[in-house]
Amino acid sequence: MSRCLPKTAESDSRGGLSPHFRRLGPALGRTVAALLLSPALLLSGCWDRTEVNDLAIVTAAAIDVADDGRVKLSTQIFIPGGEGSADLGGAPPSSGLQPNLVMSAVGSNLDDAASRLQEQLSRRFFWGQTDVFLFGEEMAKRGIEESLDYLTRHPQPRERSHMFVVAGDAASLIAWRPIVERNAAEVLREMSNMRTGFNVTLLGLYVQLSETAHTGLVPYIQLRKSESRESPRIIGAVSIKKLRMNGKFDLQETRGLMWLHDRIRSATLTAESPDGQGLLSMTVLKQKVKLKPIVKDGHWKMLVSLIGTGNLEENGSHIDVTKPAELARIEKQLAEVVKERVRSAVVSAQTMNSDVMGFADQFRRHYPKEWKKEKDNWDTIFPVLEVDIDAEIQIIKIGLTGRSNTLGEDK
Amino acid sequence: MKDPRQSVAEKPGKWNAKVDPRLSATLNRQRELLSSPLAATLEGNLAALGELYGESIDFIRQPLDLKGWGEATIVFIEGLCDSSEIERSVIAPLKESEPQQFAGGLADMVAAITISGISFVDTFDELADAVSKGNAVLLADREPRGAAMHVSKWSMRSIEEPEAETVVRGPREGFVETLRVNTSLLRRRLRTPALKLKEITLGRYTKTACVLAYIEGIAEPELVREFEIRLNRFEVDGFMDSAFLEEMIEDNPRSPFPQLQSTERPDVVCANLLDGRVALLTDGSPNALIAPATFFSMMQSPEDYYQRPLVATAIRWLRMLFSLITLFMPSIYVAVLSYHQEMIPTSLLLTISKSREQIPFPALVEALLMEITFEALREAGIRLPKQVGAAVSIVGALVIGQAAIAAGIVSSPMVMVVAITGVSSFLIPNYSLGIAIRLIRFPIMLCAGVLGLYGIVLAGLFVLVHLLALRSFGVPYMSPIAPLQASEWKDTLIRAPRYWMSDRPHFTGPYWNRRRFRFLRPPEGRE
Repeated sequence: MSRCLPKTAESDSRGGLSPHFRRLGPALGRTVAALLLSPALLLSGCWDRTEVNDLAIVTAAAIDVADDGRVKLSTQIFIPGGEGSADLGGAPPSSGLQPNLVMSAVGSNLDDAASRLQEQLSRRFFWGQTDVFLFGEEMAKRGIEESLDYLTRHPQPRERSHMFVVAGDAASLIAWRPIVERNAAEVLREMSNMRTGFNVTLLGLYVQLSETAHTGLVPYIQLRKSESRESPRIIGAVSIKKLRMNGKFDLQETRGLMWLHDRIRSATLTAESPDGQGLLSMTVLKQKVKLKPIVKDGHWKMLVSLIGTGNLEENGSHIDVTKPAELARIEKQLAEVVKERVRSAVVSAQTMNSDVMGFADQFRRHYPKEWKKEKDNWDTIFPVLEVDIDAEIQIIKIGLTGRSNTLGEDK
Repeated sequence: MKDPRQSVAEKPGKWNAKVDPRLSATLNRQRELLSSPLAATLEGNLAALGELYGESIDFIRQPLDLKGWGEATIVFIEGLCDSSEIERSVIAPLKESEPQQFAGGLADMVAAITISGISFVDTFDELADAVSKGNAVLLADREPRGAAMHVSKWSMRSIEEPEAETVVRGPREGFVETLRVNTSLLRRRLRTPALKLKEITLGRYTKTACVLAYIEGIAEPELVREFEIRLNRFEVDGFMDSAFLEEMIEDNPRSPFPQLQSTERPDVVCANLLDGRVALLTDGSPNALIAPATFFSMMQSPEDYYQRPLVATAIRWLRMLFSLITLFMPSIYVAVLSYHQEMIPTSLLLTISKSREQIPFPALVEALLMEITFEALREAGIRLPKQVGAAVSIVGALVIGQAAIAAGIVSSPMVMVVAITGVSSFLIPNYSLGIAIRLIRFPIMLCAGVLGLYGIVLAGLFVLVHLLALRSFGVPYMSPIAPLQASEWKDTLIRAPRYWMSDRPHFTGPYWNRRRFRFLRPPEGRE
C-alpha cells in the first residue's frame, strides 16, 4: 500500500506540493508528444476516404480473349439503387430485379482493360468484394500467368475469391441472371462451397501451382440450358500446366481426382448391387487417401490406397444388409466403383501428361535423391507410371429399416 | 516554475486566525468578535450576538428570568430546533426550580435541564457553531460561558430507494441529505466500534460537516491519513455536494474518468468498508464517495453480489461487452465504411450500400449527426419537466428513428448503430463512468473518420495508456488486470462464489486480510 500511495508524508495540509502539481513534468512531456503526433493526423487520412456511395463494387469478373486477341475484362457491378430499393425502407428486391450492371472493356492486358473500364465509370473500381474470377476457355488455354500476376499483385482482390474456367465465353456467364440468389457471383460462390466439384480459391491455385508438379486444377463450368432456363453447372475440372490449360476432366474423373485429393465430404456413391438387381447408394462422410511412391531398380511406381466411410442411404436390391457378410459384398462393390473412378482420372491425367494428383511431390519427399536425378525426366516418367489403386469402403450405419424387401413381400 | 496555488496556500487559513488587513472592515470585525471569548455579562454577550447576527429573523433570543440568579437568555435558530422540546425540557424545569438551587451558576442550571446532549461553549466561535448545528444555547448573567443543548430537529427527506441505482434484489434504502441519518444507516449495518466516523468540517461559510468512514483494522491507516491530508489541503467558501470534494481530492482532476466511486446506497458503502476502502459522507449530499475505486469496481453493480455467481458473471460479461460497443461501435462502423470496405461480408456491404445510396453525407458526418442528436435527446430527457417529457420523447423517436431515414438524411444501419450504442452505454452501473465513456467515443469517432481502423487503434491506445496511468488514491485504476494481481480476478471479470473470495483486495495493506476462514464452502456429501 505504502508503495502505491504517492509520497505525501512530507506534505502538510497547506505547504507541500500535492501529487498532481508534481506531475507538471510529465504533463509538459505529454504536450510535446501531442505536438509531435499531431502531424500524423494532418498528413495522412481524410483524402484516402472513400464512401461506399463512390464505389463500383465488382462482385464478379470474367477474363476472356477479345476478338482482336487482346484481353477482354467483363465485370458485374452492383447497383445499390436498383429497382428493388426505390422505397428507402430497404425491402429486399423481389427476384428477377437484379441490381447488377455488366460492363466490359478491352485492353492489352488485365490492368489496361481495368483502367479502360474505369474510364466508363463514375465510381471508383473496387475489387475488394469480388468473390468470383472466371476465365474463358480460350483465355485459359492461352495462359493465365499475366492475369494471376495482376490479381495477386494488386492489393484489393481477395485471396479467397473463387476461380473458375468457363466452357466458352466467360462474359456470358456474368451476364446471366439467377432466380434465387442476388447475382451470378453468389450462385457460383455457393456452388463452389457446396463442394460438388473442386473449390479453388485464388490463394489455393497459387499454392497448387507452386508445388513440385506445378500443375493446378480449376473447376470447369458451363452455362447449360435445362427446361427453357439456363443455369451454370460444374461439368468437371480443368488441368493447368505451365500456367495454361492443357486438358479437362469430365465429372466422373473429377470425382476420382477429388478422392485422390482427399476432398470427398458427404458425397453420394452409387453402385449396382452385387447380384445385379437394383442399385445401392451410400453417402461417404469421411475419406482417407494414402499415396505411397516406390522406386525400385529404376522402376517408378505409385501405390494409392483409399478408405471411405459412410452410411447406407438407399438399398434398391434384395440384399439383407443386416448380415455382415452381405454388407461386406456391398462394400466391395462400392469400392470397385471408387477404384474405377480413380483409375479413369489417373489414366486421363497421364494421357494429357499433367500430374494434377501431385505424385511428383510424393516422389520428391520420399525419394529425394532419385527425384533430383530424374526431375527433368518427370514428363516422360509420369505418362507411363505404374499406379496401383486399392479402395476400401466401410459402411458404418445401415439405417433403421434393416432388410428392404420386407415390404410387399410374403414370407 | 512557480506554483500559482502556493501563494493561496500561504494565506492565513483558519477561521479564527489573525486579522487579515486585506479584508473589509466588517469582515475583520466579525472575525475579531468570533475569536473572542464570551463576555462576563449577559448584556455584553447579547450585544455581541446582535452585532454578529444582525437582523437575521431566524435568530431567536428568548429572555428568561431565573429566580435566585437573575437574567438569562436562550438563543437558538428557528427551524433548526424543536421549540416544544425547549419549552418542555429547558424552560419549564428552570422556572419550576427553587430559587436557591442555582447558587452554583450555570452548572446547576444545566443539572435541572432534562436534555441529554449538553456541552459548554466558551467563545463566540463555538457558540455560533453550536447554534447553527441546531443547538439552543443558554446564556446566564455573570457567566462567561454558555450551555449548548442538543435539541435539533429539522425537516428532511425520508429514506427512499435511490433512483439511479436500483436493484431487483437487495436492500432498497438510500442515503438522504442529512448526515446524521446517513451515518446511522452505516452504523446500523456495521455494529462494531471498529467503524470509525471521523468528522472534518470544510467550507469557510458553509461549514459543511464531512465524515470519513472506515473500519479500523481493515482500512490501511496510510489511506485514511492520505484522505485527511487531501481534504485539508484546500480552503473554500463552501460547496453544495460531495461532487465538489471529489474534484478536489481525486488524483487526476483532468481525466474524464471518475476516480472515486459515488453511491447513494449504504449497503454499497458498507461492503466497500469491509473490503478496506474508505468512504466520505458529506452533509447535504446523498452521495457518498468511496476510494480507492478502480475501473472494475465501478463496472460492478451491487446486484452482482445479490444474484447467483453464475448469473452475476454472465451479466458482468454482458456489461463489459456493451461498454466496448459503446466505445467503439460507431467508430468501427465509420472506419470500415470509409476506408475498409473489403472487410465487410459481401452481402452485408451490398445491403449497406443500398441503404446509403441516397445519403448526402459522408459516414463520419452522419455518425456525428446522429450521436450528437441522441446525446441531446438524452440530456433533454433528464432536464425536461415531466409534463412535456412524453411529447419530446415521441418527437425524438420520430426524428431519430423514422423521419431522418425517410428524408434520406441518415441511413437505417446508422440509426441502428446509434440506438445500440445509446442503449448499451446505460449498462454501465456507474453513471459518471458511463458518461465518460460516452464522451470519449466522439474523439475516437473523429480519429476513425480521419485515419480509419488505424485511428481507432491509436485512439484506443491513447485511452488505454491514460487508464493505465490513472490512479485512485495510489491504487492503479486498471488493477487487478494491470498491474496483474491474479488472486483478485475472482471478483473482476467474474463474480466467483463467495467461498472462493476469502481474501480482501490487496490494498487493504499489511493487515490480516482474510475475510472469513471457516465454514464457507458448503459441506460435501452431507445433508
